Amino acid sequence: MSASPRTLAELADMHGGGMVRVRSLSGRPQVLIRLEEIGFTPGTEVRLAAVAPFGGPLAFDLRGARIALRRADAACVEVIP
Amino acid sequence: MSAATLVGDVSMEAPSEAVWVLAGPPNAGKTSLYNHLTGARYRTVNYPGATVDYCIGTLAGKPERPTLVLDSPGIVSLVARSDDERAALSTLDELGRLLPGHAVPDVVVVPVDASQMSRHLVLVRQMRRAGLRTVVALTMNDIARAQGRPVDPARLSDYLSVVVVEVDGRSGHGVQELRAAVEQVAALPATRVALPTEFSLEQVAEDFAWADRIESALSEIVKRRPQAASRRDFDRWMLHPVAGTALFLLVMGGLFWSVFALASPMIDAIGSFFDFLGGAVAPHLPAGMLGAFVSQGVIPGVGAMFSFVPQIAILFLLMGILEDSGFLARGAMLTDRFLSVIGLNGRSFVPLLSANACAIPGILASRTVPGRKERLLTILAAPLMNCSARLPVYGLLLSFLVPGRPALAGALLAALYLGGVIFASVAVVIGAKLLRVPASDTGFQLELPAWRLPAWRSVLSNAWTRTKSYLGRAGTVISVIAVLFWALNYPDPEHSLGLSVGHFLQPLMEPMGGDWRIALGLMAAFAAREVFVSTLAVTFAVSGNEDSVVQGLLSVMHGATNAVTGAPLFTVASVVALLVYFMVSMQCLATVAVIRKESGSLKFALGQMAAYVAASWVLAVLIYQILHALGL
Repeated sequence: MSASPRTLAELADMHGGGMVRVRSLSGRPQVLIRLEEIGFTPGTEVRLAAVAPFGGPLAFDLRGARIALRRADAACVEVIP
Repeated sequence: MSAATLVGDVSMEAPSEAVWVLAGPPNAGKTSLYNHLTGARYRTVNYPGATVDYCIGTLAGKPERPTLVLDSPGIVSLVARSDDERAALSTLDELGRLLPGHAVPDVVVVPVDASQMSRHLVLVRQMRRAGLRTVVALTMNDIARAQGRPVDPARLSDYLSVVVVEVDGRSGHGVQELRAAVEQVAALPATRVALPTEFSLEQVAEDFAWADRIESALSEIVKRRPQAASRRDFDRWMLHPVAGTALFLLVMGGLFWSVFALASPMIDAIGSFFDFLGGAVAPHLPAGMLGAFVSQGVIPGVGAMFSFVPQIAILFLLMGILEDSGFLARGAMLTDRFLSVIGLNGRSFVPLLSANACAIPGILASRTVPGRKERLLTILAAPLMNCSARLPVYGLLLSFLVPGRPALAGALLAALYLGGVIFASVAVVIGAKLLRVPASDTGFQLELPAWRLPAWRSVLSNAWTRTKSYLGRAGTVISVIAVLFWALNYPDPEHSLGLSVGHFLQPLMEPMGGDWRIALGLMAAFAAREVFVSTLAVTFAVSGNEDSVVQGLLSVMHGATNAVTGAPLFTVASVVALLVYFMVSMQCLATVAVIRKESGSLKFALGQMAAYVAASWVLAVLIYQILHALGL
């Protein structure tokens, strides 16, 4: 599948437990560097694991760990299926 | 030899002992490794200029060279993003500030979790690049094995050019081999250590690409097995919209209930013991000021400090269990949404929870909150959580207000807790506008560790160490201030400096329905809030052990008349006003001292105190005037 603009999505918009891949990061610099440092680098496989109620953070599985991210932070991560 | 003497010695001469620093990611098994190396005997130390706990202990057994082992807060990268990370990193290149005579650690031992290797290898690479002598302790390989991809330590060592030793954190298997390996590396010539100041996105991505190559090279030879049941499966319930919320509230409710139910018999016993001690010692002391100083100043002062210990110790113990099992990380995730509305962070959850025992450990715990502004706002909120020192005051005033109706008193107590939380939210929102600190905007990212049964031994020893360190920090201040207020009341409240102070402040008390005796009680409460009760007892000349003091005080309170108006002093209006005053006011000088240190600003600490005292007075006056006008 080609990475046409149609298949691009933000990590914050994920539903269900399918696996996606990090394509790129964009947004506030101090958040981006921390996101990379905890493992959200381009090419990383990510799966949505859980969603906190009332619009709270999302939990993702990546690199053997489970990481909770605020939705605004997850929106910095652009993913492809 | 204890670690204390060793630390003392090194400032005098060239270091004769080695220093191993355990540094690495959170949840990689650092603490259990530390316990195996030191035999779980350690004390905590403060890094100069920052109140961050380090565990320091001596290497167990009989090493060739005496060795100190240092444990510090978890780090994700060699560039710090929060105050505790900053302090943890300073042990790597500025060790001399903590252990004079040592510039850098002899060896840095980095735990690497085999089940999430790539994330942890990046840190190892950064450390090698910084010039640190590093040994990798490969942990959790049993989990990686269960997942069908065990890591071969020898091959990993070839890829990293770093010694790798497999260690089982639970059994301690491999710790001897780790020690031998570290001693060998410690003998290698030192290199210059320079920590990075910032990373570029490209650099981090490149480091991860390198780690990914190693991980895939090591797992290609292993046959993939079906995924073993994940140790995070419980999250399906814990983070479920309905079940998760219910579970969270249940655990929080259970936590508070246990703290009060388990602690109150112990608090009573401690109170009775110090009353007994004061009474027993008094006849043997010389008459006059010195005797009174010991029996009425020192002993009750130390007693005041010890009366906080049961609740603090139980809260630390239960929080340790919740933390070790993985609950607190989920709690932080579940509360982030609500805390972020007022400018706080999910990471403020644990500090604010601690503040329900005492604001001081809560303020100390705020160092894990990244971003200066969010940390200061957490400090603003902490003293408004209902600490245990308020409970004796609430107990007395609620017994007066709704005698013989425990259910109603319980509901009113819950309302006071809620009131504290509401006022804290208001304070944080106002504080966020007033503080001239740029918004931190650090977002919320938190690793959710695997669920597990708590490691009881380390949970118990942590609770013990934290309680001791609380006693050392807060206890001394509380005792000293209690003694100072004794002096203010010497020789007795009718003929003392305190009386003049009370009369001087009386005009401030009149609009909230009080007189000079209330003023004196509120002044004394600056030592510790619960001193209000004993001060009232002294002023109204009620004596006896704790239970009878409260009973006697309650009957005296019913007959007391206001020194100014001659009307009854304790009415529904004046007692509700007092309750609200205690809910909001910042009357604890020990807390102010800790805030000054942690915020690094005397202005911030005094400003917060002044604002809360003023706000509580205004609220108390408003409430009294309204209720009084209604005839209550």
